[in-house]
Amino acid sequence: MFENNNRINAQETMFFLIAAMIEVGSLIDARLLAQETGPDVWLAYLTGYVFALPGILAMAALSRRFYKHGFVQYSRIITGPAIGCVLSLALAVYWLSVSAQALRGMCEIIELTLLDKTPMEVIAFSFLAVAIYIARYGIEPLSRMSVLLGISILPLILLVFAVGIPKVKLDNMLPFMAEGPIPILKAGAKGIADWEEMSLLFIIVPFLSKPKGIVKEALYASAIVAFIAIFVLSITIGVIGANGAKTSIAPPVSALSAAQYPGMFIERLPTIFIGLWLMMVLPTVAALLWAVALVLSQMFGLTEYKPLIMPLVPIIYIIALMPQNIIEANEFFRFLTPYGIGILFIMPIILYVIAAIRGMKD
Amino acid sequence: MKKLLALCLALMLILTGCWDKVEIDKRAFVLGAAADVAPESNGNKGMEDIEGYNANPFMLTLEMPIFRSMVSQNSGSGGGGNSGQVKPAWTYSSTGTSFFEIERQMATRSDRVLFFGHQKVLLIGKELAERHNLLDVLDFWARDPESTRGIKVLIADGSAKDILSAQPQMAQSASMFIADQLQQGAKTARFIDTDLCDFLHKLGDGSSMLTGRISISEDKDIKIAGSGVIKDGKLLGWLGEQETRAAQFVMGQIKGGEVVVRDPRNRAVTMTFEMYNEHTQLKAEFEGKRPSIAIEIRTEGNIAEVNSGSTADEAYIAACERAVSEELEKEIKATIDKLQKQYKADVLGFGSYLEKHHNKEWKGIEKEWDDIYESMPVSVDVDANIRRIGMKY
Repeated sequence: MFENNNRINAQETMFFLIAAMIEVGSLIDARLLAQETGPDVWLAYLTGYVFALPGILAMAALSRRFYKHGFVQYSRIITGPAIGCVLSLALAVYWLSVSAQALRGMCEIIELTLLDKTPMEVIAFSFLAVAIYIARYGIEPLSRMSVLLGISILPLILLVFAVGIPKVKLDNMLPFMAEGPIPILKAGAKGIADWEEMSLLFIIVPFLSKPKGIVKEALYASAIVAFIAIFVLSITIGVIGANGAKTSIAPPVSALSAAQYPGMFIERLPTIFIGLWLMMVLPTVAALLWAVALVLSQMFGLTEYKPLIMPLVPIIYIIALMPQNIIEANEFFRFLTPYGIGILFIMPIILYVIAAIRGMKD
Repeated sequence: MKKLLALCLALMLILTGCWDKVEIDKRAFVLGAAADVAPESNGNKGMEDIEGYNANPFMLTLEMPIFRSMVSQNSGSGGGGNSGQVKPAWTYSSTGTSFFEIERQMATRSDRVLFFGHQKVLLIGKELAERHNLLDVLDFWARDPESTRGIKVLIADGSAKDILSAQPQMAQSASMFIADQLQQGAKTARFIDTDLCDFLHKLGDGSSMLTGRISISEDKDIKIAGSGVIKDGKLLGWLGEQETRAAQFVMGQIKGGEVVVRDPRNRAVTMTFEMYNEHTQLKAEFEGKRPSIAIEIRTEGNIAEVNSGSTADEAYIAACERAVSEELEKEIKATIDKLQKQYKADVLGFGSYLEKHHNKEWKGIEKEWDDIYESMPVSVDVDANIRRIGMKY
């Protein structure tokens, strides 16, 4: 079934992207979106997806054009060595920050709900230790783990969350667009930055057994992620309302905790939900760790990326644990929004246009 | 490198999460909590005269089950809580300046770690609800990651502590009794079932709301009936049992219940209508800035009890339907009138209905809503349908 040739097939690619996309950000999004758009959270997310699509498609198409090369090489081909180097470095720094953000977010949620006396350093360290182990073995084990988690954990998450459906009050979704379309468009533009891990498209194409299908796979993967996110967001808003979402650290968790029924065979569902959801953070951090090491090794012309993983871990660890409290952490990682729009939207589209005009491809 | 990796793996084994381990027999599971204003004098039972804590505003009572005695009572006499036996739950009370402080004070008097994850009910004393903003009172439960938003929140008519200390006849603890009793909503519409989620949602929006009222009846039973009117986060007054039913009709929350009316055939006796579902539709119209609301209610049910002979008569059924409709219309109008004129509290959600369904007009009247609400015309139209007449023909 699996071959050890450092190649992944279409399904593995899809699950790799889905598992990388789903992380703690999706748990917190409901609050950020509700603060901006009130009850129209689902619409704001959908708008964000639509806005992000050109960028995602450009990334996929660009990588398909240069299917033999990773980002480091083709950015040099397109823009010349100097700018290409800067872009690669920007990408590596972006991934480092995103994985630090995911790690920090996960630690905060664990601290809050599961292990309140365990020091955050220990949680972060033990988590990174597992991530190092997977990242060292490259994309094959990573994508296989993604498939395993994707087919076992994701349906369970949705199933657990579906428990909230009977508590949904459709009234909570109203008023529809009370403030007009401007806040939704604004939130949508910021929403582009939610698609952080889609930037892995820049480098995974050379590892694909059939690189031609990448655009379709990227589209499917992003559509599945959007579906899951909108499902969770709509139920959250339906159960606790926009006001409840605004005032909760992790609104889906609060929504699930409100869903209590007589005679339910199990109580405290939120704990299970968080436990399952946090498993989805591991592929994210591991994939980003692998990606940074790969890009840096290609930049410096190294044949192996493995030695770079260990030195990267302290950087992620330090960035993640630098903010002193949860509010500071939220403020600190705010720079990722404009940065993300640049990486996920502006950069791929510009590069693709240049490549298309000059007719550059493999 | 291999050695480092081996070290990492070895560390993972020893560094995972045992900090937070609490054995289950070292936990005390809080089933119910009662929040009160602390009594003036310090001579009360369950209060300690701790230096520096005399001016404590809050009193918190927690009920925790004692599983050991629950089990022995079950095997002993089949169904615990019989008179003469000790209630298999421990009620514990203390005062402090914040609920978290009180909770932690209890560590000085207990060998167990309190666990709020299975809390079922939270009772709030009348005095506390009248004097403090409930959103602030509930902050501890909203903030605590252990407690859930599904906790039932009720206002006690009197001291909440007394209710939690009461011994229900059939149940093993007052909290379990209350949690199970609230499931009776399908039988009667005489109380309102609200949880923490409702409170945070409605009070956070700044709107008024109705909440369940709990009291001790003359027979020393715990009784949940009627509802409390909450405006600006504080308890304003009560609605009676029939008024609560009328209010639930407007909110479309009726799941069951009964209506007794004068028998249309013989005014001296009564006819009882058992309803089993209900549908409410609000409609708003605007005349400039003056809104008016029309409430249309459809309800279906059975004839449950008749004191005037045969029911096999189409005209009689129709007369009964009319009588029920008229009775309900009268009740609902009176309740709305009371809420508009006496309490001036929009607990039935007219404002939020206008905001959600007539947003454009709402924005124009939002600021003057309190004044508009008091004099807003509301019309009620009830359509009761009798579907069955029971086993007797």
